[in-house]
Amino acid sequence: MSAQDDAADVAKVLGGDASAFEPIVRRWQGPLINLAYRFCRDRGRAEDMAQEAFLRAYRGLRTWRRDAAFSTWLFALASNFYRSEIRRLPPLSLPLDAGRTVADRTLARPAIDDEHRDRTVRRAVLGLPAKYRDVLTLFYFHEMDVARTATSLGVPEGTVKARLSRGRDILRAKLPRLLGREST
Amino acid sequence: MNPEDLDRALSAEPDIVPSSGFAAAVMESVRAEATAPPLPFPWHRAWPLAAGLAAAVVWMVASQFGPAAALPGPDVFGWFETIAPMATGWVVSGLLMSIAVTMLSLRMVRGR
Repeated sequence: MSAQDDAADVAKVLGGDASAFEPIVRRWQGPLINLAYRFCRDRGRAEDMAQEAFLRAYRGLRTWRRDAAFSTWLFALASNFYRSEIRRLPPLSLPLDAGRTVADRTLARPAIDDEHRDRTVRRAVLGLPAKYRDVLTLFYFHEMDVARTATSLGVPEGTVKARLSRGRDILRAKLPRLLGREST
Repeated sequence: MNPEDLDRALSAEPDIVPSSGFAAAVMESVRAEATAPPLPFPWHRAWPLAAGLAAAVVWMVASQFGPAAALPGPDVFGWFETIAPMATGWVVSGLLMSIAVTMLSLRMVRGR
């Protein structure tokens, strides 16, 4: 249904009706902002990046070949833009205990540990070399779908699998040190 | 941390909700883009170059085929014949260098 709506709206935009782009924005704003957030871990910047991605999509609508779903094209475009944007201006590396408050310590210990560990793992992904960071970010954003990750990155599925494996290895090797530092 | 824990930590991330004015802000940019006049061609910069090129072509043709051709003057084609062997090497090496730089740039951009 969404794919048909996208195609119809794109046709209207290409016919000269710019306001037909609004339903596209409303349908895809959540995913595009969340994808940007996973690359930069900054809500304000994520919205700025998503806005620019939509603008680029609007400018490049004619380049969408209908052999792939509109969402596939949109995610590939956004991923490319986010990756180049993060290369241009890397996310600030916050201290690993940033955001932790005194109130956290009053919560049940296991809940803190799990939530805190998950947050540390997500932040650690940003510290990976770009080719592993990009694959891991998109793989988990696409609900662990290798094919969609490969399409978004424009690389073969085998490359995605290899980088996933290597990225996870690096992450697992770094985590004990990071988690140890966190707990002190 | 085992692989399952890693998968769970990275896939169970809570979504953030777009701020209320996000779609409106995007559409404002889109409308501004749609109504903006197309960039005018920079004729004031292109004219001198185009005029210079045209004048050079006219001069070359006139110097070879015009009435003044009988007079001693610059032998453009002879000059080209002299530098052609030398220039070929430079052109080929320049071309190879351009291809190498382009391939390297694309490789770096794609993060391969």
